[in-house]
Amino acid sequence: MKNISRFKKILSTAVLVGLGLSSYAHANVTLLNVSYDPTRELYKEFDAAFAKDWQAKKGDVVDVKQSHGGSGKQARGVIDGLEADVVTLALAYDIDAIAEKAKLLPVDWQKRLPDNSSPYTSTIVFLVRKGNPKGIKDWNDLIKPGVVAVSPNPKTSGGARWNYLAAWGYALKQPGGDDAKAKAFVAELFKHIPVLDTGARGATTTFVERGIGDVLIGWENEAKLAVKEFGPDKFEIVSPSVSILAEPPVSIVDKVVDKHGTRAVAQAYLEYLYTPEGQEIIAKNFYRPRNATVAAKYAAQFPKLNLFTVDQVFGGWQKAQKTHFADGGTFDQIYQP
Amino acid sequence: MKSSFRHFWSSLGIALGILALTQPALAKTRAHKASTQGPTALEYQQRLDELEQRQKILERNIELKDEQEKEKAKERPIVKAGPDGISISSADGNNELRFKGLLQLDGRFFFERGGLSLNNTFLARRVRPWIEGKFFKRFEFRIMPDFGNNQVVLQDAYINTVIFPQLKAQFGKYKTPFGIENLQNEAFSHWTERGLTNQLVPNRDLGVMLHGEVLDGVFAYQIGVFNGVPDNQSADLDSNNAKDFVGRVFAQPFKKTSIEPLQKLGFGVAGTNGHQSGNEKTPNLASYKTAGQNTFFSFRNDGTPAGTTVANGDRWRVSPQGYYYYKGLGILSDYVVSSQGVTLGPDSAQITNKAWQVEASYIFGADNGYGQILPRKPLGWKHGGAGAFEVLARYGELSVDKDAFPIFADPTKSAQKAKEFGAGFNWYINQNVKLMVDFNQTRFDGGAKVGNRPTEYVIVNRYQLYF
Repeated sequence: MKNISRFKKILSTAVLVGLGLSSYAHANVTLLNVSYDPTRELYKEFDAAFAKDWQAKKGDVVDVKQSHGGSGKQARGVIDGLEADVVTLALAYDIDAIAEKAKLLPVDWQKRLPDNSSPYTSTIVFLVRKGNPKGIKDWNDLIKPGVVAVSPNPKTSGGARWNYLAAWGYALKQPGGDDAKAKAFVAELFKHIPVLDTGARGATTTFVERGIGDVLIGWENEAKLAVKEFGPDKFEIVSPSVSILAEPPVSIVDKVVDKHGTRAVAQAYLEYLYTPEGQEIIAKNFYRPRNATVAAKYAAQFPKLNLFTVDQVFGGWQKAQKTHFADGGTFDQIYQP
Repeated sequence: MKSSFRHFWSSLGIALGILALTQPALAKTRAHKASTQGPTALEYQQRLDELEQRQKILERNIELKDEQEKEKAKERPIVKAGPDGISISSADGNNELRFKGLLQLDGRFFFERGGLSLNNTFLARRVRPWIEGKFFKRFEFRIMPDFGNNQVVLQDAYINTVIFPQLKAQFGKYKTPFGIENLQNEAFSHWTERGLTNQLVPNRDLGVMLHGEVLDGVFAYQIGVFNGVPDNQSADLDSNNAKDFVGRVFAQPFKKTSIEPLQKLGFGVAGTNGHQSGNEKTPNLASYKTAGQNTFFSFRNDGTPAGTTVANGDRWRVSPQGYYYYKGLGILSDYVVSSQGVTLGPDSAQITNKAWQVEASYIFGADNGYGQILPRKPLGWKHGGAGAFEVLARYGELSVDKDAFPIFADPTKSAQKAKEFGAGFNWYINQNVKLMVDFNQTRFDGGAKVGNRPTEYVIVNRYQLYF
């Protein structure tokens, strides 16, 4: 009896020790994803799916923290020391800035993942109030007398820079369009924008919840989300004749992941965006997926638009940034608060 | 029928004629009516909508401006002025300048004058304005001159590079990491003058050390290479090519536990080791002083090679040390052994001196500790605070190696042993200002032509300002 009792003790001790050791065997990993303003819902769903997938494959528990704000502002945060394991920002220039100013990742970061490291795309559309009381159908309707538009500030928001360039591109593509006319058009447009929020989500709030303005110029995904959340009886989406192909990029932040020891999981996190599962979540959250199968499945959700790219019209983000959004650039010339 | 038709057409013509004639007048009347009645309900609604929009835009822009102001405020430098001194730091906290100061104004009075070289005097014991801070988060520094004691001395001048919180590299002039009482900030010392063990402890020296704290201060370590200074001395230059190696480990094992009575129990050990030499101009040897700052032991030194004892050989020290604080109670104790090879003419010896002491204190109105004492109720007329009061006592002994006498030290001038008893009272008016009164009695073995050197009785009063 004594031996049995001792055996039980040893066995129970071994089980407890085993359980304790097994809990230590699987590490808890935390990632910080510094993203732009409207991706909250996307990454909330995506993070949960990735964590589940990673735990199933590796056994590690991943906790992804999210940080959202205007893309330019977020990039500055990372440059100033915000320790992002991954950045998923609105435009390539903001990640370029992190690479160049803080040297936290290589300058050729965009070549490391497919599709120039942009696992999804979007575009710029108009969100108007139900019935479209001001009859807004295209960009030129935005500068009609009495029309009040809402957009975030291109100085702080990546989405706003896409808005600005979409408007500029539209003006260029009009008969007889040139830079001077485009500048005049965009200058007139910004006279119709009395409120400049720092980020896209703030602009949506201004339009949708504060009831300011007749039209919100913004991300397609953000507009669709607003319609979904507030109902098609309140808002409707207007697709302009011409818009821009927005390609929000993603990257790991090399120096941070090496410091945190999270390179493998951060890399897997971004790669998961390209998987069919990741692309499905992307499409469900109204971002245009890259995967052809998933894109076909959600084709009805994304009308075919006449889209141009930054490279085609502006010669790339570096040039666009320097010409339009740098201090003293075109935006500073046309916009007087 | 014909007349009826004629009548109809004539009536219609008259009516149309009247209508034509009256239409401009009617239109005028309607316009007049409209102008006198004001805008229609629809126009009013439009105007209201416009006004509402303008108001919303205005409100939103004000909100955004407030947000921008808050964001800008986060980027502005932070200036603080308060009991901890004056500081300027960058918004992210990575860069900081702190302006600090310590003023200790003493009155030192001896009861009996026999055999004393010092007078009763008021003196500015320490006058230290200093600047410290950090740049780029990792590069800390301090520059601290001292204008007290009738001299100008650069006490601290160092750069401390924070590689990790657990690993820092400090280079420059600062306190040798050895003696527990010596390492305590002078502003926080419970006594006006440190005890006898401090006479065997190297003070400020130039060197480089690696140091850090592990587990939030549960364990601390310092290890470094220094020029090497004699006991209780500081120096800015080395007098020979040899260097002293210094190491110290200190533990507060219960610091992070919930066992409150043991949280401020700390103990450790420190040691130095080197090989030092001197000459008749710079003997590189120590002399020892009482709490009244009278020298009671020194090696022979007449300025000639034949009559001056000089360092010549190994120098090593070891010091187990510790403290315990709980609520008002505080106890600090250390034991120091200091050994130095010496030479006088043809004679050489390894002189090993020893000292120990125990200090105890109790504070009413504040928690006792190794660091700054913060009265729970600072003196204030309005709120009735009286500050904190401390009573304290200590006993310590210092024994000089018997082999030092009579060849290397003159037994008629230098005592073989000092036994110090002290008692004191401190009033912490607030965290910046305190009044101190210490009484110290030091008795000696030897040190006189006949019998013992007279006992020293000294009272030291101090008025201290620290920020």
